[in-house]
Amino acid sequence: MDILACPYDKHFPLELYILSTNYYKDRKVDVKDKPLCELYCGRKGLKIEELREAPDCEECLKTEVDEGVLYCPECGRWYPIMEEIPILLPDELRNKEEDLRFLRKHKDNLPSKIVLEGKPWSLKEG
Amino acid sequence: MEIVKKHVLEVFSLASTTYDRGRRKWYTAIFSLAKQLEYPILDLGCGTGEISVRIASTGKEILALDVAHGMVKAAWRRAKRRNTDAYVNVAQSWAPFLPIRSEAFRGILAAASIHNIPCNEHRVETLKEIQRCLKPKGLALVTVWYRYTPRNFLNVLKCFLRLRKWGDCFLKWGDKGSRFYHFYSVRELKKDAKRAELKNFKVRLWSPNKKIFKNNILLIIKK
Repeated sequence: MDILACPYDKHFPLELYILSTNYYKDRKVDVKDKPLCELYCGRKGLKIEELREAPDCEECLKTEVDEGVLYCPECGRWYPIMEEIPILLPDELRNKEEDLRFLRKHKDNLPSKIVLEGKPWSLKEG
Repeated sequence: MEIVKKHVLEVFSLASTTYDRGRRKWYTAIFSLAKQLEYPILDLGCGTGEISVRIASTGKEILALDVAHGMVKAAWRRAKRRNTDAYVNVAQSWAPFLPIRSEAFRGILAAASIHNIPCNEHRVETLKEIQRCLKPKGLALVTVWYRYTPRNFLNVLKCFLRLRKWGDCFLKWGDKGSRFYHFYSVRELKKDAKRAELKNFKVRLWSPNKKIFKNNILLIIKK
């Protein structure tokens, strides 16, 4: 989250909507300096300068978003995270059928700006 | 974009399970080249993630990107298998549209990936994106296939007779289909680097092992 931006307008940070996570308790992590992130803490949803206390970077490194959505508030595009992999492709390379299937599956747990108004396609038009 | 879908995204996805065969020397050479990169590192066109994982095993954070979903999945599986998943992040993306904020990386590696971008404008755009994502004093290493080796030139010539586009090739890849390559000349790569408004760059011939005919071009970008 500290790195990712919208492929089109480069808006940063993207909004993250978590649908499910996986926790890897045995994952080896070595955090020397906190916070690990440079500008934005995705776990807290805050800019680094807004953090009042050191975030739990070890826990963050042991947690993966299994399914979720990254949303760009500037252009209204949404990008799925499936099987722990964010898919940030330009519109023409996206798989519309798979995207709509994903939206239908998660429509009750995502805001209407994504489900009904999200770009490049939503359940309203798709 | 149909060419990208058919001759890059889909064909490389299909190839992800067998891609590593015969590439051990290549990986060793690229890893040795990448040692000079400081973290955080972007591996642009990560393929099956062998280089990303080797870099991550030295304790460096790396983001591995590829357009082919099969490749990204393979890279992520590899990172988990080799216990480097705390240091490796993966995402599926297309290089001319990098989903990265500006000045995010100290090191960027684009090994044998830019030459798979079918459109010249998009190759130039990718070089611009690399420059944008580099931090000040950052270093990017880009390798592309060199046009003027006997084997490559033969392919270029054959494809030119069919496509009438100098350097563009569709090479058959067994039963997987055909993949797109643009074979570069040194002069052309320099021209693209200038069009991308890169200010501090060097171009030289390079080969993963000691060969009479160098089969790659190395573009070194400093910011």
